Amino acid sequence: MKILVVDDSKAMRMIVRRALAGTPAYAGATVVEAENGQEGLDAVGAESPDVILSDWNMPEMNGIEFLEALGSQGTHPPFGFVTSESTPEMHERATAAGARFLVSKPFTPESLAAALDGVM
Amino acid sequence: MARLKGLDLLELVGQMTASMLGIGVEGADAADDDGPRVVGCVHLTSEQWSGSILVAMGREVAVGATAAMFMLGAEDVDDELIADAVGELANVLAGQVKTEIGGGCQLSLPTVTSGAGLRMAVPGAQLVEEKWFASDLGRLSVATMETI
Repeated sequence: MKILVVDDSKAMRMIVRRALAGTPAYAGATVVEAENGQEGLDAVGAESPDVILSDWNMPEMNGIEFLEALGSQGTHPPFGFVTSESTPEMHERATAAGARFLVSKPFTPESLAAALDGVM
Repeated sequence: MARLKGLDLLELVGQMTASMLGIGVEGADAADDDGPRVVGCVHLTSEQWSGSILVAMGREVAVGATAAMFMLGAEDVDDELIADAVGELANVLAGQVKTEIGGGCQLSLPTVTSGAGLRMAVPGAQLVEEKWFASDLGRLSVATMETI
């Protein structure tokens, strides 16, 4: 399994990696990283991930723009937000754009794994 | 009425540090600290108001937090990693605050400042509150500021 983690914070990418490594179902996954939506688009083309975990608030291209760009290109792997912002309005916009889940930061390894379980 | 008044900062900061650093916090008395500090700041803005969340700590605490976050030894922590880590702490806390107050605002990308004798100010904004916390890594403070 290959998981693409898109976040402008190196610290948060490390925390997501650590959380995945701490869960039996995802400990063996290959994690690919990108720093923003544009890099994420490139990584989707180059790496063909099985699932995408993306931050929302990023420079260059934010998470919702990334998701919308993926949508305009056709089908894409399951996409979930891992974001510090989690309002009902954002849930609604994310779902309308095709996101399968939204995990709020701070999260636990269990909550991240549960979200992934729902789409894998 | 200040939107950022009355937040349970102990609860929010405790959730943040538990998830990101693997440590708990407890409330602590305020302290003057003119030594080297690192401050992460995120602004919340809407058409009606704006606010800021500032997370501050001594440099040694910042090094410890960064080492914990990246699973590194303190000797391998550099300024770039510290800025990333402290900025993300401020970002996550600001996101929690945004959720707590019901949204309706945008978060800025985090900025991080470091140095000795820092006095952070946001022009036009007033301090809503400043709380201090103790942890296994040392002390940190959180300040909320708001322009109404």
